[in-house]
Amino acid sequence: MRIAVRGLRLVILVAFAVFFVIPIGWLILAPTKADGALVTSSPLSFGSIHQVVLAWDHLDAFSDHIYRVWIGNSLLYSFSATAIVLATAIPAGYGLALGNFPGRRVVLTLTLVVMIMPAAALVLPIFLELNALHLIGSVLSVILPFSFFPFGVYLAYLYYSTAIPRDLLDAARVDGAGEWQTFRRIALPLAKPIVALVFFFSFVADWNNFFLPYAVLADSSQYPIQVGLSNLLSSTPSFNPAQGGGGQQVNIFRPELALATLLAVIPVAIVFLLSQRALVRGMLGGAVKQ
Amino acid sequence: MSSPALTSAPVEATRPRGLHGAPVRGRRTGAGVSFILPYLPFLIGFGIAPMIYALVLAFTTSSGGWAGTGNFTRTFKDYRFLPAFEHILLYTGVWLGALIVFVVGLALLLHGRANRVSTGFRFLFYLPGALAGAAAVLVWLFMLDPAVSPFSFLEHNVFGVQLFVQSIAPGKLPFVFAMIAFWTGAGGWIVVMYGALNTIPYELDEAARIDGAGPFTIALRLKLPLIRKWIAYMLILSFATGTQLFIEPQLVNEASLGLVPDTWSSNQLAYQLAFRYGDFNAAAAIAVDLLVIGLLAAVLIVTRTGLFRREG
Amino acid sequence: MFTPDFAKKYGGANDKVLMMPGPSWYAQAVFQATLHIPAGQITAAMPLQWKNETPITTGQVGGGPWIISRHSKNLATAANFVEWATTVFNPPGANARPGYPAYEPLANSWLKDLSANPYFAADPTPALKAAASLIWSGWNLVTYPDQPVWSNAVVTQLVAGKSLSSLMPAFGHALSQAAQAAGYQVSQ
Repeated sequence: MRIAVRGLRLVILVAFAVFFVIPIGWLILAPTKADGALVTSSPLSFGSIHQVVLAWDHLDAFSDHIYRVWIGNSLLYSFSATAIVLATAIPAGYGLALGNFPGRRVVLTLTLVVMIMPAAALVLPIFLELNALHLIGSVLSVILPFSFFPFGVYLAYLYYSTAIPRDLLDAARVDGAGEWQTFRRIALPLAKPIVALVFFFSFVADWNNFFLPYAVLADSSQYPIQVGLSNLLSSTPSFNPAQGGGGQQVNIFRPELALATLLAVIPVAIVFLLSQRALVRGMLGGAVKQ
Repeated sequence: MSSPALTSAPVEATRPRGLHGAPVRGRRTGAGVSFILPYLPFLIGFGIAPMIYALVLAFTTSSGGWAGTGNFTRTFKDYRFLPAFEHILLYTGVWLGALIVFVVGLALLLHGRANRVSTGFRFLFYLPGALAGAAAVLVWLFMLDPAVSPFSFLEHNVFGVQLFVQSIAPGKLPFVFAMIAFWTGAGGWIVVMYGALNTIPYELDEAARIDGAGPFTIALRLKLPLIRKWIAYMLILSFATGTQLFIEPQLVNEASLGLVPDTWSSNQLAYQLAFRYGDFNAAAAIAVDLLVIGLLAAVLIVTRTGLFRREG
Repeated sequence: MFTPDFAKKYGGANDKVLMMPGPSWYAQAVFQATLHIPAGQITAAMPLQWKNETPITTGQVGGGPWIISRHSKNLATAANFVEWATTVFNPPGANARPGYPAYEPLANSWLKDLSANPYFAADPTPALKAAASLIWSGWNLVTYPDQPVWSNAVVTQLVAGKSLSSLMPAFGHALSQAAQAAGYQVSQ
């Protein structure tokens, strides 16, 4: 009976693992085959490296190397916004955790509420607000909203609530250190784990964000890669046949689209894998069995 | 047999001291306010102000006059409004169902025999989370096309689907979108539930086993009730997020030449009102509808589940 | 028809397409690129006539007016470009424009180049010339997207197995809803 239960458990887990992993396997193998071969050969078969090079050539040639521009944009938006987040959210978390000023509870509650509210609800109002401020059309229309990351503030708040040892604080007090001196002496040296955590969440959230850039950016050369992918999609003849009717062939077919998607995922996958340790340790605080 | 005391959250040993040794509760010294000053403009500018601006727009006309509930009734009567809300409610229902059954179920399955194998499975479940909304939809556009999909056997024989256009037939859409959302999001939630399960003291597990309880009983009668808070958090948050659905129907709309309309979800309708018709007030009305849902969920979570600390 | 599945089922080796009504750019986009029909096998002819239809009517697909935004900072240059694109632009050979130009002098040079195209089994230009004068006068450009209405109201039901004729009332209803939402007044 025990074996049957264990066997059933394994079957269920494997079935779900297949569901989660096979599409990714397909995505990795798809650029190795030509468009026709995708249909005729087995979905998980390997084609050739040469095909991948061809697919990249087509992708790169699309619209004057705009794919590289899109990746560059994503890097610009994610890194600059995350830099601002680190500069504002970590001190804010520190201040909320250890400070004592009127309005502390209000700011904390507001941060929590806005953090939990789905970001998609705010995209259209933010667009309308940016429009009223005449910021539409500038890269700031993406970077500034991205720099608001209440989850980062909350993480820093949690971290500093529990991470500062008492004797360190007492020692600073005895020395008569001012607020920012205390911060520099005590909070900053301890900041590495929280910086890694906030960096990870902010970078990934910015890299993956679709709706906000989609709504506020009109010029396709400013698109981040996520919105660029949707642009590529509507240029793929299999999905939009009117594209095939151009005098110049736009050589974007399914392998190129798959390659574009795969390459767009790699930066975030790297950040993902590098941050696994920090995540597992920091997440929920309940990762250790008592 | 005595059972150990149940601690559901780590107990704070002492009240933390604030800056300059001032007690956190008590006389307000103003200490620390300069630390939140760089953050405040962003909180106000991109958190509070948009909500207020949306409210203002929703209650005024395009020339700035007072509109009362005019925009709300006007959008309500739009022939696409009710279908869009139906769609997202159905989608959210399916998604929440999948979360309760599969996420909680898988977390319990993994936790039952926690070892390296289960860590390996957790990692595999988590992998799709790296693909963002747009990338995930693109992958599934291929997965749903029996011509290229590795799941074509299932599609032909179990779902009776021969063509891509059959995969995205109107009746199937809530399930298709829920499946895509599940594929990207389940891994993360499983990790959270697993962490929640880890806060259950091992002694309880032991005691139940000694009492003769089998794995099912332990999972359903002991562990499940103890992670109620996290399940509630997951459900409330997913409900709010689900109603905001935009990317999946938008991309499938672009990939299907309009077979799936560009106003399938409420957020899409708001988007079209703003960008195709230039009717910002109507768009704001729908945005406010969705904001209210989001706000309610957020307030519920913060005040009811006790998962988020607001004290020092 | 515009799905990858169509090509797989009816094109290439299966070679099941005998004829299709469509605009001039079908030659390159559909017959050549999607269905891989070899050279020397197809040409264009007048559309078939419905029982009660006199005269035969044709339509225009995938063409339309050029639109310049009044917010543009380069109005004069844009206007020049549009004029050039519609009255002058006519590259030869492999880069030929696939769409049938609307401006008659340009259309004539385009047709001359097309009749020399070795892909066709016979000269397609007489049919194209005749078809241009038979475009249905009830057709016009609208400010709302009408093609997605067809996809959403008709194609979804065709996929579900309904007949085309049974879907015409639903199509009309969906079109009038879309038009009214865009500010048109619809009279039945």
